[in-house]
Amino acid sequence: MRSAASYRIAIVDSEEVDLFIAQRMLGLMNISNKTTFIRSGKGLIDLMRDPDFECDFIMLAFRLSDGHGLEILDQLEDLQSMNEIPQSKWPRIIITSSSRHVDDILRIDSHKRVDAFIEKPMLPSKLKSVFAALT
Amino acid sequence: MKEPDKKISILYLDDEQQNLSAFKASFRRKYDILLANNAEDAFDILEENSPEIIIADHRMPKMTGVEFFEKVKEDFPNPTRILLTAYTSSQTVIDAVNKGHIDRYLMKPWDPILIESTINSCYQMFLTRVELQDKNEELKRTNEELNRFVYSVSHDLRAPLMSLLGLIHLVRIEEKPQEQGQFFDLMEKSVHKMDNYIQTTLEYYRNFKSEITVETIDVKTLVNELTESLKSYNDHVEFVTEVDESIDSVTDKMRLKIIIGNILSNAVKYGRKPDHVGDVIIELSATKTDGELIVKVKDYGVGIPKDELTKIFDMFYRSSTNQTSKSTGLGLYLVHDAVSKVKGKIEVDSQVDTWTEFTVTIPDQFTL
Repeated sequence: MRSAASYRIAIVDSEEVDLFIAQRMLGLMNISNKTTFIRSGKGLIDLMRDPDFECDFIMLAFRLSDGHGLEILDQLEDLQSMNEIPQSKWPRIIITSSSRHVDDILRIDSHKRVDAFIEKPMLPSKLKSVFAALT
Repeated sequence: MKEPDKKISILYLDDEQQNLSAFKASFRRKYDILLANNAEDAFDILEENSPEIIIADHRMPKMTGVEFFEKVKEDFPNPTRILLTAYTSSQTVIDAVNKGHIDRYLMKPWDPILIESTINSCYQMFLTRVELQDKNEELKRTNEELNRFVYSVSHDLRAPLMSLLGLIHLVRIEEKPQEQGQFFDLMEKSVHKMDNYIQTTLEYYRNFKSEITVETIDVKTLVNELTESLKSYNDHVEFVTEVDESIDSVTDKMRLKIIIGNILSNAVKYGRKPDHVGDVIIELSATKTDGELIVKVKDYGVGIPKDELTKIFDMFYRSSTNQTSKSTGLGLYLVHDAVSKVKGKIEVDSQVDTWTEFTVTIPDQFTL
């Protein structure tokens, strides 16, 4: 296992403010100093297909400017089954969302590729417990 | 609905040719008569034409009139159904009336005066049926929209608040005080975003609810108000306006403001290409011909792909070129709705990464 602060985390969010919050909070809490900003679902797909790109966690927003986070996740899964994304490269997936809609929560909860869920607002205590559980 | 010079269209089904001929001879001047001597032909006619009233004989060899109407009701529920029968007390006919398969029944041999008055009342019944159906569909649409709206509010209204809360928690653990300026900037952005959402929501409801209030509006003054207000929020935007002197528009002021205001604010949002430096240029022209105000707004920004041009007026539709999520997805929907409320037209054309132009035509309304 890597030492904590060196986790490589891709933050996928269409909200500039939320990208900033996640990055700064992860840094201040010594979870990660290596974050990548991705602003759209398409951006994440492109990056995951890049053979040189690797990360340990993806924090994926439920709603993105170009689609739903879970749908992007399904697309990534399809790409993996076609061997376009190597099995070994698959990171842990954390969904972030400000929605409290029951249908949304159920969808997130029942998705087999989702490892954790953080309900916004992003709080140090939530980050701490999620990363403690996942590592 | 019936046009003034259009005759009521009636389909008459009877297995006896002489009844068909006699019926046509008696009523063809008053009504548009379609004839069939078996159920199959009658269904073909129903597929092709849309009669408002159907009359069928009850006693026919293959299928009785009641059975025919039972089938008709499934696929063609709107036309009023009149059964023509020679018996006075058939239980099947009574049942059919009670079950709603037929709306009226007439006795054979027919009395022309009674037929006419029955046709008139059946036509009213048809109109009521169609109207009710339209109202129902409208209600269903409104209901669906409301559901989508509530769902979207639960996301879009909460999101900036959650960002703010996240920022507040971040400030608490921030070690470097010099970072604080940046936090305030981001907080301000979240507040503006939420405010923008609330304003648009309010506009949506005002537009949705209130009726039209017609007044004479000085177009130049209105355009100036709108551009000045947009400038106060956005630096580096230049409006090049060409509004004919002293033209006015006789229409609903609030709607006109919603229409031009939202198109302009979109031009501000999407008028900048990623690599663009310097001021964003937005052109607006307004002219008046034949009692119609024509407003054109053009920007030279990201543009809209051709296949999305028809979708951009849908509720909560966000263009694929819009990667910044500044949009509520409500603006153009509102514009479209407001345009139809003032009986105008809106067109859009665009070239990706080059320009987008909206053209709005708004006719003068006349008060009584």
